[in-house]
Amino acid sequence: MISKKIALQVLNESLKTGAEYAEIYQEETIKKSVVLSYKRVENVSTGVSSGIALRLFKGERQVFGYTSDVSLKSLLKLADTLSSSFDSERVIEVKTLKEKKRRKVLNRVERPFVDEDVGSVIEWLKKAEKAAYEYSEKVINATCSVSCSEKRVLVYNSDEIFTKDLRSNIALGLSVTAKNENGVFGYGNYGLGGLGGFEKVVATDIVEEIKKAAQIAIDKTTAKDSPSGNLQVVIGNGFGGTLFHEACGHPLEASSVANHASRFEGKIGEKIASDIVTAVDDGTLDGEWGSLNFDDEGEESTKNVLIENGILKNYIIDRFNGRKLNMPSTGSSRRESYKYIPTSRMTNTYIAAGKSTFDEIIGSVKYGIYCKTFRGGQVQPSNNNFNFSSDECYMIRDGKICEMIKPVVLVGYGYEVLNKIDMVGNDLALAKGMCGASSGQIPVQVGQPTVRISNMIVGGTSKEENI
Amino acid sequence: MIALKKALEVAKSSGIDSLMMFSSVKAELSVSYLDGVLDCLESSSDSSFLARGGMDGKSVNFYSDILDKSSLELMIKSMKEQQVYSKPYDNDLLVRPIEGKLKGFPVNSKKNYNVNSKELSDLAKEIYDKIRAADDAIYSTNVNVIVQTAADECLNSNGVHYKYKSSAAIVTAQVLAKKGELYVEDYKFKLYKDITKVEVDKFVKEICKSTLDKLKAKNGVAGEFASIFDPSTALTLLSPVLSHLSMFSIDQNLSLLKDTLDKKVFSDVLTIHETPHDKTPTSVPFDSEGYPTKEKVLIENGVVKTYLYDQEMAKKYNHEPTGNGFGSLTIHPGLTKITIKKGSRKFKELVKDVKEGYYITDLSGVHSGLDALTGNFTLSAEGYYIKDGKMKSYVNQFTVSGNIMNLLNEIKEMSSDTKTSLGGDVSPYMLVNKLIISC
Repeated sequence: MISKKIALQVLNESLKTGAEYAEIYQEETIKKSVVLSYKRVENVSTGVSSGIALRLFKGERQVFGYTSDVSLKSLLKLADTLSSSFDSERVIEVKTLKEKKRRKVLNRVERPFVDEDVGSVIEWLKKAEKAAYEYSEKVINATCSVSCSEKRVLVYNSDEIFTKDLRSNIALGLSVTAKNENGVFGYGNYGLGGLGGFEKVVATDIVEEIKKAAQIAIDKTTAKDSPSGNLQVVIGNGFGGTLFHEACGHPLEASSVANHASRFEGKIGEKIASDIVTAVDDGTLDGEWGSLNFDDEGEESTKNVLIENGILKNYIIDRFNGRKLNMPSTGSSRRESYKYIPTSRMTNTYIAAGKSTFDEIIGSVKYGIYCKTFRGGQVQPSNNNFNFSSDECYMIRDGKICEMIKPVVLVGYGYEVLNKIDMVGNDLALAKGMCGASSGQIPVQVGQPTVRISNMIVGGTSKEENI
Repeated sequence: MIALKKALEVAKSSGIDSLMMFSSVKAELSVSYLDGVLDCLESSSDSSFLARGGMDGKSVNFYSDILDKSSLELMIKSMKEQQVYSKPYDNDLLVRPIEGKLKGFPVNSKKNYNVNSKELSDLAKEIYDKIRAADDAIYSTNVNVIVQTAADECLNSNGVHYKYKSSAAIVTAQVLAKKGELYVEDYKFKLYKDITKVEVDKFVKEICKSTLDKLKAKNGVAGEFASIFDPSTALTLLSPVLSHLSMFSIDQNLSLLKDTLDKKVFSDVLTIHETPHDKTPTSVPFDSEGYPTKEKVLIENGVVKTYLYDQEMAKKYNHEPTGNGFGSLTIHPGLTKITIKKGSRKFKELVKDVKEGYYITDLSGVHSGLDALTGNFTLSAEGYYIKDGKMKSYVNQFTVSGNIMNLLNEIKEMSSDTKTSLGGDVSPYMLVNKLIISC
C-alpha cells in the first residue's frame, strides 16, 4: 500500500488547480474459491486485484480516475490529468495525514480463508455433496462452494485523514438441482455469509442444509401454477427484505435524491409508510455481510434510522451527494472496486421487528400467497416502480399454508406498498445478497420479519386469480 | 507488465507447461452531463491478466490485475496448490495454431484515440440540450459519453498467439419526465464505432418518444393475449433457451434440448444464426480457448441444427469444436452473438393483426424472474396495450409470465424490421399467439 509520503505528494498535485477536495482510494484484494459441482472439483482458484482511484471535487462536480499501476510516476500523471479539469489557484495544501481509528474495530478475522488448507475444505464440502446425491435419485447436480474476498482498503483525503479497513467477505453456497420423471427441473439453495474468516461458515451443518435444499428442489418439480392478480401477500422474513431494499432502499440513496430521481426527495419528516414500519440501514453490525468499519470515502459506518413509525427520518448519504443535499455523510459510500466511482449504497438494511407472531400473520389470511424466499428484484427510483421475484412460494387458504406454487413476480410502487404493510412479525432475520448499481456489485444484507401486505399485483404462471 | 512470452517461460520452468494466457490493457475517458452541468469526468487505465490450463494432468488457473514479478510468483504458488486437488486436465485440449488467417477481429477506429474530454463534453451537451428542449415535461436528464480502447493479447504453450486492438464509443441517456403526480423515466444506450458516428437527432428522438409516451399511461387489462415483443425483449427471452444448446449441459442431463438435434422443437418461423463476425467493435474472432469462432445455424425453421462444443466436449463426443468454449477460470460452451431471421412484413403491419394484446417494450427483474434452467419466467413489463390493431395506450407496469420453450412454439410471425442490441445481437419484432398478462 502507498505510504503517507506518496499520498501527500499525490493529493497536493491533484489540488494544484483549485479542487476543494481530493481523495485517494487504494485496495488490494485476494479472492479464493473452492467449488464442487458436476461430481468433481470444478474449480479451485486464487486471484488478486489491486489499484488506486483518485477523485477530486469542486462545487458539485467531480473528476475521477483509476489505475492498476501504483507507481509514483503513474499516480502523479493521473493526478495531473484529473487536475487539468480545473483552472483556478490552489485553495488547499495538505500538510499532514493522521489515522482515524474506530473505537471498536468490527469484522475481525480469526481463520483467514486464504490460509485454509484446500484439501480440508474440499473434504468438508464433499460431505454435503455426498449427502445431496444420496438424498434422492432425482438429484442430478449438487454445487457446494466456499469463496472469500479479502479486501484491504486504504483511504487518504484532503481533510488530512486516512483510514484503513479489512473486509473479508466469506460465503458458503449449497445448491441442488433435481429432475423428476417427467423431465421437470427444480432447484433449492442455501447460502450463508459474513465478514470474517472460515470460522463464519465452518460451524454450519452443511449436511442438514443441503438435504433441505434437495427437498425444496424436488418439491419444485411438482409445484402447481401460481395465481395472477391483486392478492394479499405474506412476505417471509430474511430475504423478504428484498421488498424494502427495492421499494424503498434505492430511492432513499442520496445519489437518486440529489439528482431529482427519487420520489422521496424533500419528504424528510413526512409519513411515507405504515405506522408499524421502522426501517434501518446499519453498517455497524459486527461480522455481518454488508458491514464496514469505514466506508469507501473514509467515513465511519453508522446505524442510520431511515424510517421511524412510518415517518421518513434520513437518506443514505455519501460525501459527494451530501454536498448537493447539504447533508452529512452517513458512512454509506461504497464501490465494487477501485474501478468505480463510489456513491451512496446500502449496507445491512432491514425493517425492524414488530409485534405479531408468524402464526398470527398466516392465520389472518383467508386467500393469498406466502412468499418464503426470493431471488432478487429491481427498481426505478424516480417513480418507485419496483419488482421482485419469489423463489419458494405457497398458497394460503383459510389461514393455513397449503401447496407449493411456482415462483411469482411482485410489482408495485414503493410509496404505495410501504403503506399497505398492515402486519409486522417479531421474527426479524437477515440474509446476504449482492446488489448491483452504478458503483458496481457490492455485498449487502437485506432483512425483515414476516410481514403482511394487504394487496399487491402478483404475476403468476396462471392467468387466474383464484386457483 | 511482464510480457506473456516471458510469463509462459517462467511457468514452464516451474513445471507448468500447458497454459493459455490472456492480457488486456484498457483505457477509458467519459463525461457525465447532468441537468445542465458537467457532473463528472472520468479518465482511467487498467490491465488484467488470466492464465488457465494444466499442471501434471490437473486443472489450474489464476487471475490478476497486473502481471509483474510478484503476481507471477503468486500464480506459480497457487497453481502448485491447486494441482493437488483440482479436476483432471487433458493437454490435448490446449488449442493448436490454425492454418490461414483468423477472421472477425473487431473494428478499431483511430478516431477513438487522442480524443479529449472537451469533444466528449461538447457532444454530451449537444445531446442534453436537444433532449431538454424536446418537451417541458422532461425535468431531468443525464447524458454520458464514453470512449473505450483496449489492447488484448493471448498466447498459449502451443504457440497460438493473437494480438489486437479494439475501441468503441458509447452514449447513454437517462431521461425523467413528469405530468402531475405521474413520474416516468427511460434509459437508452447505444454503441458506435466512434463519436463521429453518433446520430444525435435519431438518438434524441427515440429516447424522448419512449419517455414521453409513458406520461400517457393508463391501466392495462389482465388476461391471456397475443403480444408483440420488441427486439430487445425478444432477445432477453431467447438467450436462456440457447444456453440449453450447450453440449456440457446435455452431457450433464441439465438441458431442455437434449435429444432434439434435427427435431422440430419451436415454431417454424424461428431461425437463429450465430454471427460472431459482424465487422463491429464487438466482433468476436476466437473463443476463450483461442479456437476460431464460426458463423453457424443454431435453429432453422424451428429445428435444432447444432449443439455447442468446447474443446472438452468436442473430444468427449468425437465432434469438431464449434468455437464456443467460453468462460474465464472454467470453460463451458457458450455463445457469441446471434441474428434472428426476419420476416416479410413491417412491425406496424403486425400490430394491425392484433385484435387485443400488448406490445412489450421493456422487461425488468430478468436476473431474478427468469429461470434459465426450467424456462419459466414471471417478469415485470412495460409496453402498449393494443386494441383492434391500434396501440391504444402505454401501460407502465404489468407482469408477463409463461415458459420460454412453450412461448417459442407460439411465435406467429417475425417482422421485417430489426434492431441491434448493445452486444451486437440482431432481432426483429416477434408476434406470439398468447401470453399471460397480470395487472
